[in-house]
Amino acid sequence: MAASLLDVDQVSKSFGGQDALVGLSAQLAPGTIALVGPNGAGKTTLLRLLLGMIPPTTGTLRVFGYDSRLQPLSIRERVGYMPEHDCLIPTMTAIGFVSFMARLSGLPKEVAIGRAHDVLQFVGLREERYRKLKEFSVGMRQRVKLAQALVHDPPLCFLDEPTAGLDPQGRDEMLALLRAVRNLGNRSLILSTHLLPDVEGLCDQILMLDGGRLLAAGPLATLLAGSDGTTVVRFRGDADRFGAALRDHGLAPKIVGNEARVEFRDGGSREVFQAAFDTQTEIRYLGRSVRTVEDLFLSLLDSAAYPEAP
Amino acid sequence: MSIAPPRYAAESIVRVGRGSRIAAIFEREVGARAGVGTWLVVAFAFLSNILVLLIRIVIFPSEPVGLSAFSTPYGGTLWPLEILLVTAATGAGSIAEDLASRSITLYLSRPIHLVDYLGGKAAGLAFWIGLVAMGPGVVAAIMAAALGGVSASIALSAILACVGLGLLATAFFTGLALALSAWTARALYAGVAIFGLILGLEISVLAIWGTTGNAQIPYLSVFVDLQNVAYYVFQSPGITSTYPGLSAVYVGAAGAFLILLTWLRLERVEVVGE
Repeated sequence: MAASLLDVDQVSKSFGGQDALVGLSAQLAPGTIALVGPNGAGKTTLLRLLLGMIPPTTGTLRVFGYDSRLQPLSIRERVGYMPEHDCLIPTMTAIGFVSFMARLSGLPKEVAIGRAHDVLQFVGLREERYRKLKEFSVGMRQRVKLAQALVHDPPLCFLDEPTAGLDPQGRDEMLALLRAVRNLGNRSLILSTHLLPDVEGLCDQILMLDGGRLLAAGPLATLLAGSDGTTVVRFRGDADRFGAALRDHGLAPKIVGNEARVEFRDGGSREVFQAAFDTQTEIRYLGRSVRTVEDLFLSLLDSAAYPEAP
Repeated sequence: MSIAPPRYAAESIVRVGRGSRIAAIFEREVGARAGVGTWLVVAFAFLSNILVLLIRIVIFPSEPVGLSAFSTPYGGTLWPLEILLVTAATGAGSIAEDLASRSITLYLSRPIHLVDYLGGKAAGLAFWIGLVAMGPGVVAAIMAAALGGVSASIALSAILACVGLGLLATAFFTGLALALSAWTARALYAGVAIFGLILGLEISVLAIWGTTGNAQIPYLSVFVDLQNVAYYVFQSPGITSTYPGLSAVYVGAAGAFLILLTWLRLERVEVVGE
């Protein structure tokens, strides 16, 4: 089995002449991976390609080393899939539906039923498990979708827009559930979303798409680290005097309130401390500027230049 | 009390094979189609056909009672109409409901092939259609033998004939239900189409046959084809002007074609929700 979780090599996918993905290549290690991009970026298409539900027009995709075109069942045995859209059978009970999905994943009937009970308890639907799915609210339906993705204990889960349609409280609860799943260990998640705040604090890797093209892929911490060398200094004291002192030491601070942003190479913090000492200013925080996922995404969008469609 | 997330040792569980996964779809399909309408059609089919056969064979027997006596319900239109009814009752929603709820995406995201999904669905429908197509004749033959109306050997021949004829009808009507159910996400439309297609075909064939007098035209009628096969397997005397083999090939080939059509259709709807 290959060390990488996903290996996508020059993958393109077209639907009736419409390009959904164009020349996508990426390698991602096990972990919690964010698959982000605006609606229509190709996120869902990529997930379905990885599951082997649709074949790529060109290129190859491997999950756990299995080729999605040649060994789709080997992949699907190891993957739980939570689609974005509603996909529950409304006439079934939650326990019936989840255990049925477990059986389709290859679990023996008795085991499937036992695990369905466990996983419905985990997602907080213990009391409602014998109710028909058509009686469930949006939030409960999302939980059932998560439960059916987890019920066969897959080492990898594809979660397509898991917080879509949820109110703020429901969204927080779903994110808490996803953190709990992540913390189980030995389990990777691919979280597809266009809601960038969902990514922060949950994912350690990111794969950004726009218009079917790859914008960025890799460890989130590396991508979010300020590439412009900006350092943030939060202080308590006279802002004007502190700013003047920084300038005296050859720095060019941008001061807003009690926060200064300065650019220096490694070791430049010495001048900051000297300026603070000179002006009796208290340094309360000093560290590299870290962008948000949204900052990163917008900057990548700005810098991306795609050829015009003919 | 804290709720602990479930932790499993996936490798410790021996996964069952594809056959068991297809069996799960079959069980689900049989259960999902067991509505009041289905049971009413099944009950009516059993009562009417068994009653007709027992009246013909046990209560008012014409001497000598042979295998041909069992052809009585199959020579008319009641039997194929009952099959048509159970086909519409069970088959209309079979795939259409999965398309409407988009649960087909979940089916196909599990470790099964499209052909497994289709096989499980077909087996579930065939259970109900076969029950109506074969059940009454088999039960009537056993009852007739038990009541002394026919010998055991004739009853056995009747059972084999019922099963053979029933399998042919089951194959065709299962294919028809799957094909039309896969074509729409509305079960009602599929049900209307099942009725409309078969009854429209029967009426058209009768009209064209009446106008042209062409002896080949009736072979286009599924009802006539099934009657032809029924007369042959039950060795009904005086029916010599038909080609039952040709009728059987027509019906069987149509059923196979319809299942192929369903498969081709579902190949295209894999990307539902895209």
